[in-house]
Amino acid sequence: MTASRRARLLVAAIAVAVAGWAGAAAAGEGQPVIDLDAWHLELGGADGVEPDREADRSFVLGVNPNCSAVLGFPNLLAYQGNLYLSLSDSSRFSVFVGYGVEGGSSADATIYTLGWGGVRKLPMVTPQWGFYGKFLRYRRWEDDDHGVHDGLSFGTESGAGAVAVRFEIGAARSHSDHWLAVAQIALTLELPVGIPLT
Amino acid sequence: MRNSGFRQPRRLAAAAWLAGVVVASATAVAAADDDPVTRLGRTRWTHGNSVRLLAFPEESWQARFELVERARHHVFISTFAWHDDHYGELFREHLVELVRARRRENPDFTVYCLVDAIARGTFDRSFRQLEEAGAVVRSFNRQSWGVGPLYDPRMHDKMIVVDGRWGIVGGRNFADEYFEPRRWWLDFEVLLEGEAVWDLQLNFLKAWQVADMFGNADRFFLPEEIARRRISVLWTTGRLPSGRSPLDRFMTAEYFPPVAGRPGERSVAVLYDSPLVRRRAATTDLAIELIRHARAEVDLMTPFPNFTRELTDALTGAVARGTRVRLFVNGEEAALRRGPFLWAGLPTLIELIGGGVEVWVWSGNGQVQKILAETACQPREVPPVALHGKLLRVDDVLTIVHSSNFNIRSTYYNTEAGVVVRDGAFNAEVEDLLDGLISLRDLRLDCGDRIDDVTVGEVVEKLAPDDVPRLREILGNRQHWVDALGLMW
Repeated sequence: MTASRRARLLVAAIAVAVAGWAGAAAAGEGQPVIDLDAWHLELGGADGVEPDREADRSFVLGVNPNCSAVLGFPNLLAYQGNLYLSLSDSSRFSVFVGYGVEGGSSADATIYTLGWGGVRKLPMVTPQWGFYGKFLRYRRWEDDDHGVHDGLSFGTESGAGAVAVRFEIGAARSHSDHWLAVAQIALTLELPVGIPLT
Repeated sequence: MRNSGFRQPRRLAAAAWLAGVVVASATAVAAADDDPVTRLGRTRWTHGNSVRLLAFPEESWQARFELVERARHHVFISTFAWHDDHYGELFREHLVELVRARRRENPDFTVYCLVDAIARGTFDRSFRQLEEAGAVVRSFNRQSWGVGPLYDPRMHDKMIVVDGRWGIVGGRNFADEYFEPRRWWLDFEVLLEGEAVWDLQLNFLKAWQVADMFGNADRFFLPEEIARRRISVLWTTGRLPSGRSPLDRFMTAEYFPPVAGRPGERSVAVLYDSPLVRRRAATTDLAIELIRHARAEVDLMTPFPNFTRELTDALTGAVARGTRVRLFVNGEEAALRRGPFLWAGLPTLIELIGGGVEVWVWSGNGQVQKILAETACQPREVPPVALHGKLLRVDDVLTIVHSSNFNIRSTYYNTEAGVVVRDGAFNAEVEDLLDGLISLRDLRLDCGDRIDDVTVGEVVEKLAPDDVPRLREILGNRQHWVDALGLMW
């Protein structure tokens, strides 16, 4: 086969492929036949998100001191105290940082928390503040038998009023390559306070 | 894209039909702003629907069976609760058989079930057979243990949509209490055929996508504010903020077949509430507005009358204008849930009685069951154990049949679905039914020819101001507690 013949065949093949694709597209194969946008315009929702959500946007500084009874590894039963500071605009973002301590039968820890979530107002009959967050934690564990461990964990916590529940999982490693598992469920008593900034 | 067997004429017909609908309704858009149903309900009127009220357990059960039997392409089901009891299992087994049979003929036959996570349970395996048969089952949200109220709506809507042509929506879950004719809860649903089914199905598909969003890793890593915004934009526009739509693949004539002619004569607007989309339920706001403008009569039924301040004021305000307002609720004996769930509604009832609202309380047929056990009487029908229906009837045209309890939880925390029906005959049918309930004040059971009728006595009574001290006694010193936990049912 000559080069020119190969070129002509290639052009023909491309032409057939393009024609086939165009035909399929014209026939609407695989394409939606219902105009989703027109439908939503008719439903009255095409103006986007709820308007008052934007109007309600306000900055809140959250203070959330709390103490917990902790069940799980490495202590089986432990106590924990934390102080979180959060910043939320109630609409697009919220972040929080925390410092705390944990004590138990086999290891004590200093806890540094970085999370997203924060103190928010709950739309109850009597409005009250609640807390909701997901977090990453660094812990410096002092283990009775194996010394200092550096630990990372992640978890989630949510609370309404004075009660919250926290789940957390992670691990810690000592300089002598000893590992601790971190897997905890905590029942927390808290006092979330919101300070409106705007 | 499920396009096998997709035919051009059907597609063109669907496009032409939708274009007709849009053009026809465009003329109504200008007037829509004045219509509280479309303005507050964020919905549209659909016309020419067939609407059948399903108020009794046998007819509702039969309608469900017949409906899914008609399915040739898909069945979509959402429900708050699906129990492992007799009727719950029976319907699940029926679905398993249906999916197997249909998928032998059409491998694209689709069954989607959406069940709220809190009602389904963390380690639930009861849908395993259904999933093995080919159905897809998703949990809506996750277990919360009651302390995650911010990003924690519960899916309380209940609907069945078949082939985009027929639907059932209302207050019934899948459990014995909704279908057992001897121990049943009074509830209301509508069986729909027509254009309204499209809107109902669109809401299901959005809820289906939202449930998927809950299930992926975004749930952990995406800040809540962004996740909620994505959901809100998807719901109100049909598209994600990126412009892409996960609904596109369903926008075909197979999922939304054109409506042939006019299956009926009734105008229906579909209502759907989601706390992820709006902070307050559109249905509650609509109910308040309709009550504020009622001229002659308002009938409201709910099992959990823990209302918002605005709704309570609207009801007492209507009475002050001379409107007859009747509220149908459960009495202490028939309460679906006790403790905080019962106490939560008492402050509202006390206020409504003081405001002149006719509060009718159902005391149930506990005594009927006792009489049946003690005598040989086997009446053909027994009255309901309790009220679980949720409806609002305003004057002589509009009726809302819904899953919303019109209470604080439904207003702020639940997804809910229902319809507004604009039809005098439907409205009258509901009124007759409510009048029938009141007529049971002095109930006599018809035991047949061989046994004398049995007098049961009062199973429904109207509370008077004299009853308020008794209600206050039940409430005790819990008023503050009820206020603080007002989000409960």
